[in-house]
Amino acid sequence: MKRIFTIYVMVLMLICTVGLVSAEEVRYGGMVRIAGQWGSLTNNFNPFLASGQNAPGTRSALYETIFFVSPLDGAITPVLGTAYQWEDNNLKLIIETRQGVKWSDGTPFTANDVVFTFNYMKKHPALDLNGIWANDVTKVEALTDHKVQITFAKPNTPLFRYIAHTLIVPEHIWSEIEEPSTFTNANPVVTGPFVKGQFSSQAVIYQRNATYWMEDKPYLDSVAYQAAKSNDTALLLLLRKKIDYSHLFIPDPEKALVAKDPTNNKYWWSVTNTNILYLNTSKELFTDVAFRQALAYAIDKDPLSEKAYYGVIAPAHPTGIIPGQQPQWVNKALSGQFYSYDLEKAKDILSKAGYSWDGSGSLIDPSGNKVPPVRILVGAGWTDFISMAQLISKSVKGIGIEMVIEQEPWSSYINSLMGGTYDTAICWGSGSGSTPYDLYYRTLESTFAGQDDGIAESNYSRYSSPVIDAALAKFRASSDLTVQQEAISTIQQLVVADVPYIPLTNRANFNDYQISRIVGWPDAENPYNGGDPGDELGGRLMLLNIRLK
Amino acid sequence: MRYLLRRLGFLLFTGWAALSINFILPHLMPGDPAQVMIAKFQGRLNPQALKALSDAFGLTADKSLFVKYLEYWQRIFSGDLGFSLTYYPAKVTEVLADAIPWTIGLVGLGTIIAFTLGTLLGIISAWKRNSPLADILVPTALFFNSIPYFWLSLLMLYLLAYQLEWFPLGGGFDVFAIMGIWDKVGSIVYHAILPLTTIVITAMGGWLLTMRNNMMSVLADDYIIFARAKGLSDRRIKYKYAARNAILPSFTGFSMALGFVIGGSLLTEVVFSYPGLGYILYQSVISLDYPLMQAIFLFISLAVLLANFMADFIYAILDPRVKEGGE
Amino acid sequence: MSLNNIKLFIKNKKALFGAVILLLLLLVAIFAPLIAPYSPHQVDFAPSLPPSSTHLLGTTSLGQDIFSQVIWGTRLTLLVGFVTGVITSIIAIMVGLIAGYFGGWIDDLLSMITNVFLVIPGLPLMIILAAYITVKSVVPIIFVISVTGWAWGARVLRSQMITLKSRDFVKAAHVVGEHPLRIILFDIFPNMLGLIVANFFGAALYAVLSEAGLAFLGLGNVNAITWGTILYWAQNNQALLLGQWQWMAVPGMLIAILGTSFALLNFAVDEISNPKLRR
Repeated sequence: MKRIFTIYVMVLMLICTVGLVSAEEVRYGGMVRIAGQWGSLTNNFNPFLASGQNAPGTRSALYETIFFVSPLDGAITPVLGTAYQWEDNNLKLIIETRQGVKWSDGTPFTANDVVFTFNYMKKHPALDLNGIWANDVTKVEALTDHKVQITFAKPNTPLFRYIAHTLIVPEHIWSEIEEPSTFTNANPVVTGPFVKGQFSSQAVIYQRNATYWMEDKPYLDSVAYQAAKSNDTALLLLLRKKIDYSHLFIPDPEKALVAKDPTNNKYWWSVTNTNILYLNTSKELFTDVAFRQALAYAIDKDPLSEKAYYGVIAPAHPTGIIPGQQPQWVNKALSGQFYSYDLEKAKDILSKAGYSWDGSGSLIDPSGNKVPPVRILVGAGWTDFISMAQLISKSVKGIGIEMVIEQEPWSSYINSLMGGTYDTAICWGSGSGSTPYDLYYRTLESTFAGQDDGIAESNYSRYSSPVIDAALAKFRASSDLTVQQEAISTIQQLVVADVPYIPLTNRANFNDYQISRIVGWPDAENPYNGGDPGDELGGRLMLLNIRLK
Repeated sequence: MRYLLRRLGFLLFTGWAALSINFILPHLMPGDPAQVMIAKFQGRLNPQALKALSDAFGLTADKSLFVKYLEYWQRIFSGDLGFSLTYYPAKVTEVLADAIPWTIGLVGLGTIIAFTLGTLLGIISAWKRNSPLADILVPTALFFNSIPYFWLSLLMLYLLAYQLEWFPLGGGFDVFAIMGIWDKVGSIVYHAILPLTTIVITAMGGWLLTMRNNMMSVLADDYIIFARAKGLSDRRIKYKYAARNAILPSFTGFSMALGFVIGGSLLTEVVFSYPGLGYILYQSVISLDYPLMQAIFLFISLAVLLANFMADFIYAILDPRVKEGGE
Repeated sequence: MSLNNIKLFIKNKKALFGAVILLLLLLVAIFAPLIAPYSPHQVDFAPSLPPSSTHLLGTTSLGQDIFSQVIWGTRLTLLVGFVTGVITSIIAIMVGLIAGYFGGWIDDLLSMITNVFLVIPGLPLMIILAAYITVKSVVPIIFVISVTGWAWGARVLRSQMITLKSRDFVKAAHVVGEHPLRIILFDIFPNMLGLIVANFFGAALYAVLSEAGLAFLGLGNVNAITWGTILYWAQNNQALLLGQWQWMAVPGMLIAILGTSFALLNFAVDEISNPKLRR
């Protein structure tokens, strides 16, 4: 019941923000221009496909989810769902769907569309990119026209986010489609704030949905997504005010963006993930906890933030938990165990474990052999990671370790990570979400460590611990915040003590925009969409709130 | 006729070999496209999706390389090149059809302008050798020929398009404007000027030098000396006799250069975000889009092969000597 | 190259100019440790400094001295050019001479292979190969450029071989019963030296430009310091937008200058060995 209450509070808050805006006398009309480094666009608006295969805007302007869960702090915004509740010891999830919503062809939206969407993914497993049916869900059914019940074989409360984030399609259209994974859906029928307008492979334009269920929104007449192909072009377009928004990494945004026009040019880089130095614990060197701990103490993270991210993105918390989730999830009682840069401490740990140093300062392992150079894997051409790798190799020289930077092109890089052929690698947290559970589940659960087929889907460190698996299961089975916090606390204690990987810096979504024409963007003061990219799920909230100046 | 048949056989054989290499190369690359897709999402996707994506891409069906090779040939002959993995479920042919006109327009026009300008300047520099103009032309051509494509593109982009705002900041045309047909043509031309200039500047030097050297060789031949002695006008000797003969070897080079220029234009297209093949090829390589990669190679290889054959054909017509003695 | 040719070489302004540039750059490469004030990998300086007396070309965003990088970059850039030039030339000579000399099915086979490599677009092939190889040093880059770059030279050398073969002195040697290898090495080879040297410089130019192109796409080893990788870092840190124009301009200009010196030498050697081009 507590949850239902939260939702109503959320709805109230949403109404409040809307009220605030209208008080300022909102101007309607206008077009927002968004550019991204997409290649050519395809005339494809199939919401089941991975983003990038459908046209940008499919997931933000056209189709809608049930709820939106903020990646920053887990705040829930109702969309096509209005409330939800766990029942029967978290074995049943009841979702109330919105009434009075119409599809863009005039057909009313009902709970049956939601049920159809889920069952459709069951029938066509290739559509189930969130793995809902692969994760304990057994049945989805409509209780009434506006009530859906989802039944679980065993409790899995974190799956809520994936269920909530499923884009809902109209049953009366899609029930006719036999081959959904190759269906391009060139004339999308949607519930979202915009409908498809003009399309070319260089740009797609969406027009306001005249029958949208929010009466006063969207403020804009149209939304245009342009394929800028490269970051460089997108940045130039933004600086010359040919576009209003782009999700792109800018080296030194203060100088390269804001300084060029301080009144108009803005950026909000919201932290939603963590950059991590993964240690391949299946390699002999990294089976030694002392060695891993020493590395954690020997890496100075401040230069990483200052030089690789121009000081805009801060060093990571040792637990890997992002700032927005720290107040709720970091166990302050453990703060004495959180490591920080300390060469003496690192050396101390190593000597106690039997390591020593030769005349030239190189590290000698307990059996008397020189520690071989450690490879550090980065993606070829990723300047932020390469810069970090250079700084890390400099840093660990302090304890006599030689590091060799190894770059692989994107495809073989990810192959090396999953296949476990690397020594150490810089990569983002292979899981991120509204709670630290997502990070820990993906990066530490033994199921994903490649023990079955050698392919570690997401546990790149190949670390497995029964304690962590049990804590993750405990989290999954509960919808009680205190129980979940306990579970996360158990895990973070192991993460800092056993060092399966070393969190390096925060990782952000790069929202860059200019306000010469359009205002109302999400920012740190009003993070209403969690800083999701403008073509992702949270982009919908952005499109609903931005308006002419 | 025997010469042409021989060339045709050669063409077919070369085509077979080139296309087979084209098939093998992408399969030598490490990595798994579904993994690549998963990783692209940086943790927002559930790991179980790996299986779903593999299914969607048809990668789970284990086929031997030989079977895939046979299918590859079947596809080439039927014109069905399969689905692009990056733009799935768009057909490779759709993606290509969209990009090819841009590249042909840009590269074709660039090559023709560079060839014409270079050849003309080459004639001048050979004819007026030892004049100050010719003395400057050759080193200048050598210098332009040595400038990295992408570097020149970047400088032009930042200076002429960004700083001075004379030209657009990239792309093929103004995508937000709603335009009539002539405005659109105008917009396309306006957007093509900078990339075109880069290609012309960097490619022109080669033609200038080739033509100059050919021209010099021809001018030293007996019949030109004879023509001069006979008192024919300079203009007549220059264009009717010398240039006409000197241009023959340039023509065979022309078809060869096509492959190089298409490759070279890749970097220019990337810098100017031009909607052609170059960018798509680059993207397909980094996202392991085998079918798309193969189709682009197929297209470029076939284009160059065909151009070669046509050059041989024209050569045989223009120069009767080849018909007799093989090559 | 006979004494006469060397005289011609010195008298040829283009050759002299090209040689002087190349020599200067070679000296820079050899004495890089003495010329460069800092190590190119040192990351201790304040980032993104403008040019000054302590940092002639400023510093990178990581805090490396750009001038030192450019000086050290000369080494690898030249190395890539020279080594690739040598490898490419060796392949081209072997294929071209054998095909041209023996004719018949050997020629057909080798010409077919040559044509295949001519037809396959070079840069895309390089990108694929570069993506295939895990990049740890410049060696794979050299390999990749050599594999894709030898065909043009082989074709040129082959046709020169065919021309030379019909010359009287070769026919005579043949009649006398000299071993083919001897004929190729001692009768024909010296007559092709000019072309081979010209071809070498052409290949070196191709190599330097290709390396820069691959590096620009991030496919080289961007930790190895070449002019191409310096350009890559400059571009990725928006050097032009941030007013660090020298970071972008200097290495690019140096590539063009080195390329010009290769091209001048290529052109001049061609001119010297072919009397028709000289007058």
